[in-house]
Amino acid sequence: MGSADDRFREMFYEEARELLISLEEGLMELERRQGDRAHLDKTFRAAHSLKGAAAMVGLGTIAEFTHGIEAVLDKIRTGGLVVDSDIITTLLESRDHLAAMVEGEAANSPIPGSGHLSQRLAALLFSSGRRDDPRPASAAPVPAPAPAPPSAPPPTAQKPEPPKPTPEPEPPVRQPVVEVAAEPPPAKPKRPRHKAEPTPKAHPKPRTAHRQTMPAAAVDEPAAGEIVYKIRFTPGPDVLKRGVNLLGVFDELRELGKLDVQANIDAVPTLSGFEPERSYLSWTCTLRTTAEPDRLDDVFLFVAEDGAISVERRLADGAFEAVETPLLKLPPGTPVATPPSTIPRPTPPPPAPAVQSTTAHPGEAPHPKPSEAADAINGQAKTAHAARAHGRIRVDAQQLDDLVGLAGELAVISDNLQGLREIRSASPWVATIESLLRVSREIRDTTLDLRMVPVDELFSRFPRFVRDQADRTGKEIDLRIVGQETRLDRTIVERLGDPMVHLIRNAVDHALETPEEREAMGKPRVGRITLSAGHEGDRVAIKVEDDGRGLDRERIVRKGVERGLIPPGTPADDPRVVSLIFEPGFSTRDQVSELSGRGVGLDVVRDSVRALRGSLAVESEPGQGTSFIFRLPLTLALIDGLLIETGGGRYVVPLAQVEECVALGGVQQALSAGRPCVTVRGELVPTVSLRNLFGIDGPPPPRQELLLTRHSGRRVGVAVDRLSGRVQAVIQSLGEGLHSLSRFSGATILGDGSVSLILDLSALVSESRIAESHSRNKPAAGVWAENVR
Amino acid sequence: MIDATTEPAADADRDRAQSYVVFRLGGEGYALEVLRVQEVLDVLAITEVPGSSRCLLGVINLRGHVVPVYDLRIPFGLAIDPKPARAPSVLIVENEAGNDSDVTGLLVDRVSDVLEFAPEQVQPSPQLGLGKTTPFVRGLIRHQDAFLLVLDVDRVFSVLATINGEGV
Repeated sequence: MGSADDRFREMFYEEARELLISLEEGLMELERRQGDRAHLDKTFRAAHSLKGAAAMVGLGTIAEFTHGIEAVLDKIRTGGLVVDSDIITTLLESRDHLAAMVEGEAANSPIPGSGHLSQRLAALLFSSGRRDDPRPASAAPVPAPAPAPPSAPPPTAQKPEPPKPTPEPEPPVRQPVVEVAAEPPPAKPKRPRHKAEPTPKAHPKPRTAHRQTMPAAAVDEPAAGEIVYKIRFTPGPDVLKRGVNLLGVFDELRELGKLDVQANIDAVPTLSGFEPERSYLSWTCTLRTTAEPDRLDDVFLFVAEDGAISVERRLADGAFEAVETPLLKLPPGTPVATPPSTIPRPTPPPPAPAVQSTTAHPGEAPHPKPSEAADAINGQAKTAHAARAHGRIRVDAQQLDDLVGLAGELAVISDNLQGLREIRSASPWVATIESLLRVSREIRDTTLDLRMVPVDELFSRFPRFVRDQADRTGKEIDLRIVGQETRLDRTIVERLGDPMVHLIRNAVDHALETPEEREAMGKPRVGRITLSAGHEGDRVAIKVEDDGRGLDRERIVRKGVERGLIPPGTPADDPRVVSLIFEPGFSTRDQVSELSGRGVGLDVVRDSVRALRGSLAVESEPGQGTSFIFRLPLTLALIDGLLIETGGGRYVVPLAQVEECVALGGVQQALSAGRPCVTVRGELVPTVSLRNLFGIDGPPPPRQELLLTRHSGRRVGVAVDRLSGRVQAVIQSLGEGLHSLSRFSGATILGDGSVSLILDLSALVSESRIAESHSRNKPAAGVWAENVR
Repeated sequence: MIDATTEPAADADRDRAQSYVVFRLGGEGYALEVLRVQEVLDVLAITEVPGSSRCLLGVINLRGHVVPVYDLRIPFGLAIDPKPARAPSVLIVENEAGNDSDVTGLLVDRVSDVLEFAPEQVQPSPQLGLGKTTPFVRGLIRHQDAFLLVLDVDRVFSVLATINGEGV
């Protein structure tokens, strides 16, 4: 495999992942949007394109497995199958297996198709064919063994061959010529459309028997609005090697209208010259349909590549005229493959069939090369067009992050250059410096915007998830999603998945009652979970809300007192009570639920949100439900910060964490429970000294500054030496080894090129409390007791 | 390959020979594969990280990237010279071979040379006798009547990671 192949494979994986997502979304909605034809078509197309794309890169097993899904969707599309929950479940499971197959290929450890699922898919096709098919006569011939079905040799080894039994049953009144195999005398299957079935004996001789003329069929006058197309189709010799199922082409044509197919087997060599993996066949099809020529493109999309296709439409006078479609268009002046318009096709002179078969297939022989080239070009144009339809290009995430970093630095540097405006001799450059500032800020904002993705990318996985959870628990759940277009930093969207899964699973397992319980309580039978996203100031709030039983405050209080987290006698309606559920290891469940995640609690959820510089709050009403609210920064790449100094070091404090700054010289210092406190406007505020925490020796400056922040709902002051200004800082990770230092959330490079660490005030405060409680060797009492771990 | 016909012996040697950055630290000579070293810097402004382990000197700005710099004297059990005679150097080393986006700085006394040694010149390191540095040395090279200690830099990083994880 050359590198070009690898590249195509890579492209396929990306495309396949997208298609799998739209397939899943489509399936999820299918039940609800029963009558929505456009939606169904879209879903079908996802499967169809995936099949084609897989075939194109030679992933036959994937193409084959996908075909099973596609066939079922197709059955639904043609009205032969009524969507129900079981069908969707089967399709979703198949989709999952398909996703696993794709990822398996991508990881170089291919996974075979699931025979079990293929059987279930095929069963859907069979059962419905009998049950739901409105046309009674049609079903009969299909499973009957006697009139050799029109499809490939009977014992095809390939399992998911569901279209074979399904093919939209032939119209009840059969044309005498419709299918080759319908012909009585040589009860011999049609030539293999599949590889590896050499149909050993007898194939050289009865060739003529197969060459049918179609006298009656074409005479049949088309109904009003119908067009009669004559399609000559010669797939490339390697089409079978590429894993394309040619039967699908005919199935699709059959969907468009009434189809007569005639195979031309002239090119089939004698057994000695027969290569089982080579395609020798060509077909002439007569299609009566109301479809536009463009629809034919879809059908031939994946086989046009190296094959030859010509389409003609019948005019009023019975003559045929070549049809041009984007894909099938022939270069001007190209003679049509075979002599046009004579319906009983004069078979190519049979003098040297063997020679012909080795050189080319008959349909292609008269084709001048340019048409092939044109086909190829058109094929490329088509894929290029498909890619453009999204209006997007793919960008390496790492490169994007680098770009964001550089753009941020550029903005900082040009900020610093503004100082030049004060210098008189620089006055000619003032306008330029200002433009530089403006442009660099715009570059920064635009690049930051590139990192933003709609939160839908996160939410879209939950309909499926909730459905599965509902199935698992036997609860009835309605999931609502609001504000999915809200945009958020890509990293946040990626990392919020697990926390949300956790909360939703909790909601399903614990919060929502069973349908019976709900009815008994006078609530609607169907429980509701709402996911919403929206802006709240400069933050994004994401809410996971349920209308279940709400938190059991009495029980939380009991647990909290037991564990020494809150003083005994705390009333159940104390606002602090609900936030206890975020304490490590805190669970109101006495036994680990069989259903919910074991051991991992809400503290993990809260920590992961904190790592994203966000917060998590909970609101709960008994009997009414619970909401968890994530509040997150718009972007992780940039923060507004205060530049502070302590003990000679410069640090950045995120502005969002600072409520207020007061000068420490003027306020009264005091001690409360052995901890330094100050009184700010009458309120006793505990303080943490950054100098002490950082172990800086020497006397502090006479006048310190106090940053007031909020920690666990209480005000805390952090004393620093000096405030030196505001900065917009591009955050960089401190690197692997230093993650354990939670007091720093990262580092940034200041305009002068020096590195400054970004303080996490909240982590600092918890750290100092831990240090204190250790040093005093007993849990802190009083107001802080609930925070001691 | 064309050269191989003209100078087969020399070329074969060159193929197998490895280049090493030779540096001094606490009175010993060390060698580190040149492939792992991205560059050598003079010590510039280092931002201290309060509360980190003692071997982390701080972080530096390496062309826009924040890179940690470690002092190997502490894991190696060497005395810290409060007043170094001359400005030390920082080796910028790839954390994983071949990945140049993730680097760490290692402070050394002085980078003296880049030399080539053939594999057979690298002797296995003794199990004892090198004190605290023993686990970090994966071989010895005799050079100018002395031994260069071949640094096992992966081992160094894994020990640094453990120290970081434990905090101070």
